[in-house]
This record gives sequence, structure tokens and C-alpha cells, in this order.
Amino acid sequence: MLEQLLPFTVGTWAFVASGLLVAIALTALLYFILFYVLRSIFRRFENDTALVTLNVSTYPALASFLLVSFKVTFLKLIAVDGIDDLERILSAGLIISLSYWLVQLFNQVVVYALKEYTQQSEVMWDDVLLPLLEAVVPVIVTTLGGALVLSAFGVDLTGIWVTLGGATFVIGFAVKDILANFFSGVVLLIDTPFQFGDVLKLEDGSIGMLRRIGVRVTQLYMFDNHCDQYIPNSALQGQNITNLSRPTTYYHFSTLIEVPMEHDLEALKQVMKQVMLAHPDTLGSFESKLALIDQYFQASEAEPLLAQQQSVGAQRLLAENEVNLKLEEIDLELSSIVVTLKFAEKGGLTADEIDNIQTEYRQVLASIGLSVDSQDTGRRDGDSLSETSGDDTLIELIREWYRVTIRDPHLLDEDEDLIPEDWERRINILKRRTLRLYQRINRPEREETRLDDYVLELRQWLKDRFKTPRKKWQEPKVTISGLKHGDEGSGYLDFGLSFFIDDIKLENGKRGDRISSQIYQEIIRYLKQISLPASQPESTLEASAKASAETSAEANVETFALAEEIAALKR
Amino acid sequence: MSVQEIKGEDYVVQYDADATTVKFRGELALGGPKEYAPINDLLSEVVSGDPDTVTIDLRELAFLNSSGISMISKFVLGMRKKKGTQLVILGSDDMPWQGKSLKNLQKFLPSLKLDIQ
Repeated sequence: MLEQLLPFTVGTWAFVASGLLVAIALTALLYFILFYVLRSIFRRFENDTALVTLNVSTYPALASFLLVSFKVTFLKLIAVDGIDDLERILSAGLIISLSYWLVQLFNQVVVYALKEYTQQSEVMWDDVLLPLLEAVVPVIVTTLGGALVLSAFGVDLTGIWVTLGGATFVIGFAVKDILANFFSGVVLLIDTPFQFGDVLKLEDGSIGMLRRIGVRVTQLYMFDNHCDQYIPNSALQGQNITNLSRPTTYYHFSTLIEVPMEHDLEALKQVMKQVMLAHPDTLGSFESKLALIDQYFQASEAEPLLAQQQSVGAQRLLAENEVNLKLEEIDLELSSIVVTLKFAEKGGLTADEIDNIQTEYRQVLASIGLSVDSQDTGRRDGDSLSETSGDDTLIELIREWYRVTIRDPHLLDEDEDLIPEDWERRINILKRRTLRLYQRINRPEREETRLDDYVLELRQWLKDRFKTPRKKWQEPKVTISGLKHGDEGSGYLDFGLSFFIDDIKLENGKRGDRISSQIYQEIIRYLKQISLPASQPESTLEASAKASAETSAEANVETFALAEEIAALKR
Repeated sequence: MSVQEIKGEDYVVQYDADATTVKFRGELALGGPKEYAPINDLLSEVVSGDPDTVTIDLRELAFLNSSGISMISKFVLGMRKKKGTQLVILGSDDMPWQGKSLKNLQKFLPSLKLDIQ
């Protein structure tokens, strides 16, 4: 093409000089376009991917363009001596520039985009796979680039490849354990039985929170000794692991209490159940919990936090109840859409039917707290959702709920970050899922008959993963499990208390222990109250309650001491 | 006998308070939730008194559009909360729209008694 444009004979120096001038002029033009035109356009975008890509690409693109132009120009000068060397240098330069470009694009654009994606979604390979790719890909690209540069200069690399092949085998054999761990880690990441932050119970009974799955080892934070434990991936993969955070973060707790036979068993059973229900952090029906919350766990000098615990707890229960009611409402609306869709999809959806379903779905979005930003681009991905400002929306109710939750006096600083982060992540996923469904409902195209399944999928996700509804089996239970005889012939009854706590992860994994101890202590307080003769002075009662508080906080399952103490009191 | 009635061009909705039965007749093809609001209000009023049984008689309803199905299904599924009331829906196999659509309702409200004649 160049030879037709330029008024010089091909192969002369005049041709080359003018060709070079053209190349430089074009490069300058490209420079202007990249730096001024495209940059000012990309700056207006909300997403910075285009701008970063441009920044990363500008110099490599200019260099590559210039080198290619030079190559094209010199291609016509085959007859000149020394041109071969120049050509090789140009090829090498081109390879280096392209490899550099590729590595930069990968590190700054691809990895960054993947990281953003993983943060917003439910996948969990970002912590391991991404750093790994970040480390490995540049090395591979640079090595290949280097090899190509060498072969451009005529170096024969066959011998090196063969040696490298042999070495790989030897190295592979030497590090087979590491490789086994690595692939176990990859398998754990792909077939994920748990997520980061989940609380796991290992085969040896120890409980820890999953921090990260590494290339060779998995890091668990052990609650008992507040240490990190590193388990080789292959060892972890070979174990039976109980995931205490799935399907819910609720955790079952049970305690045993021995009580002398003389007590009124029915009344005692009733009180035990009430104490468990009155604790704000156990699961149970909202109505009975709220009705009982003021009756137990009264604050005292020794336990000043109890007042705040109970009042914040009551507010939190109310807020959670609001969330649950809203979720029920949304569930009903989604189910109704499914019924309507099943009715309407026979014979294809008419315009009226699509219109009706869209109206119904907008109602669901309004209940969630989202509204559609209408940009009629004619494409599915042109739509977007934004949050509305109402107080009575699911999103706002959830925020209200977690704002109350983190006022709980027992929570640690970490928990105060953990809870909002966790919910905001879920809200983001909810937004993405509802948007995807909106796009499908708005433009069903060929998926008309699938829409009902997509709606069902969202409904199920809300129930299973977003927030599980309270179930009957989570109610606290009191069982009488056995009869024992003391040394003096007196009989004791074993009462089994079992209850669920709301979130195992909080308070460094000790939330369950604290709640269990508080419930135990409250029952003892009651037992002491009814055991003391009426004539005993008030001050003695308080002193003994204090003494008991100190012992019982530690004595969680160790119950014999309690029975002895009560027996002593009775005597 | 107290009878409440909502009447349109092609349809009649009658509520017989003694039998706690809401009877639909004709063809219902109103445009959207707003136009269905009076019928919806009537249904809500019927269950607000917590009767033992509520019967919805659709046997003579020849046609119902999708907005109508949305309204009815929301009402029916809303009965999940009202455990004290038994909901009965009477349908007819002669009306082509009814059979399968009504069965779908039952999937979401298992306690629904469906009587298709």
C-alpha cells in the first residue's frame, strides 16, 4: 500500500525515509487519539475498566504500532546489508512490547475485574486462585516472550525444552505432596462445602472459623485457644467436617441441670422453658419471647449489662419480626406470580399478560425497596435497579434490624463490622438476582415458559440463603432425662435444657457459652429463691446468689455442685 | 339473608353471608389491580370475621384474565396465615381455564380444599 502512496521507487533510501516519516506521523495521530480523544470519553464512564485499560495500553500500543510500521517499511529493503539484524531487533522489540502489554492488561484489568466480581457474588475462589494466577501468568508470558525473542535471534531452543521437560518430571515427583495439597485446595474451592467465615467442627471436635484456603494449607481460627490452625488441604479434604454455619448460623446448645425431687416439677419445667425463651439471643416464637423478656434476667450490681441486653434484645426481636413479616409478604407475592405465570404461559404470553406480570413483579421490587431506572435501550442489560427511600421496605427493615443488633452490649468490635458487612453482601446479591429476574420478565424473548422456574428459584433462594424463616423445632425444650440418688437417699432429677442460639460466629464463637451460662445462672437464682425459707434475711439471699453466680458461670455442665449446694441450703 | 353484590358488564360477584360463599359468574377481564380492588376488598372483608369456612364458587366463571388470577392467588395464598379458616374453592372441568390453574394454587396452599366438578 505504501509503495502506491509514496512518490518514490521501492527500495531506495528516499522511500524508506518517507515511509518512516509517515509511520511517525501516524503514531503521533494515534497518540493524540489515545491521550486526548478516548481518555476524555472514558472519563465519563462510571466504571473505570475502560479508562484503566486505556492507561495500561497507551504506551505498549504506541510502541507496537511504531515497530510494526518500521517492520513494514524495512520489509521492502531486503537487498541492503545488515537489514536482517535490524529486522530481528524490531521483531524482538515487538514481542517484548506485546508481552509487556499482555501482562499489564492481565494484572490491572482482568484480575481487578475478577476481584470485584468475586466480592459481590457467592463464589469464594478469589482468595487463592486470583493471587495464584497473578503470580503465575506473568511468569509464563515472560518466559514465552523471552523464548520467542531468543528464537527471533536464531537461537535453537529445542535442547532447553527437552531438559525442561525432564526437570519438570523430577520436580513434580519431589513436590508431589505439595501438589496434592494444591489440587485438594482447588477441589475444595470449586466444590465448596463452606464459605469463608463459616464455623466448622473438625473430626477431633475442635471448632474454628474458616479464614482462608491457601495453596497448600487451610487456615482456621480456633475459638478455644484464640490461635490460627493450619491444616494441609489434603488432610482437610479427607475429613468429615461439620459445617455449623449451614444451612443456618443457628447453633444448638444443651445443658444438664440436677434438681432435688422435692420441687414442684411441673412448675420448674415451666420456669426453665420461660427462662430460655426470655433470653433475647435464643430462638423461639417472637410473641412468647417478647411477653417474657421483662420477667427474667433482671440487672443487678454484679450484672449491670443485663438491663441493656434485655432492652436491646427486645428491640432487636421486634425489628427481626418486621423483617420476617416483610419476607412472608414477598414470598406470597412471588408465589402468586408463579401461579399467574403457570396460568398464562399456556399458549404463550400475550402482551396483556406480560404487562400484568411486570406490574406484579414491580410490586415485589417495591416491597424489597428497589425501583427500576428505565432506560429504554432495547437491550436486556440496559435496565438497572436503584434503592428507594421508603422505611417499610425489606432492605430498610434489614438495615434497621442490624443497626439495633450491633448495639448488643456483648458483641465485640469485630462483630459490629461483621454483621453489617454480611447483610450488605446479601443485599447486594439480592439486588443482582432481582435485577436478573427483572430483565428476564421485562424481555422474556424465548424464555417465556421458563419464567415461572426463575421466579421459584428466587423465592427458594430467599428462604434458603437470604434469611431462613423461624421453625418450630428451634423452640427451646426441657426434658426430664433421668433420676439419681444422692448419698443420703435423696433423689435428684436430671433436667435437659436444649435451645438454639441465633449466630454461632459472634463473640469469637463464645456466644453460645455465654448464653448457656446466663440461662443456667438465672435458673439457679430461681431455685435458690424458692428453696430459701421465708424468714431468712434478704441480705443473705443476695450474698448467696452472688456466690452462686461466680461458681455457676464456670460450671456449665458440672451440675453435681449445684445439687449439693441446694441440698445444703435446704438443710 | 344478606347478600352483597358487585356487578359489571360481563360479570357478577355475589357474597352470601349466611353460607360464607363468594360466587363468581360470567367473564372477568378487568385491567390490573386497581380495577380488581373492589372484589379484593370484598374477599378480605369476608375473611376478616374469621369464619370457619369460606367458599369461593368459580363454577360459573367462564373466563378470568391473568390480573384476575394474580388477585385470586394473592388472596388464597394470604390464607396461609389464617389457620382457623378452611378455604374451599369450587371449580368446574367444563371451564377450560380452571383445572390446572387451580391445582397450582394448591401447591402453595396445601390446606386448600379444591372441589372440581
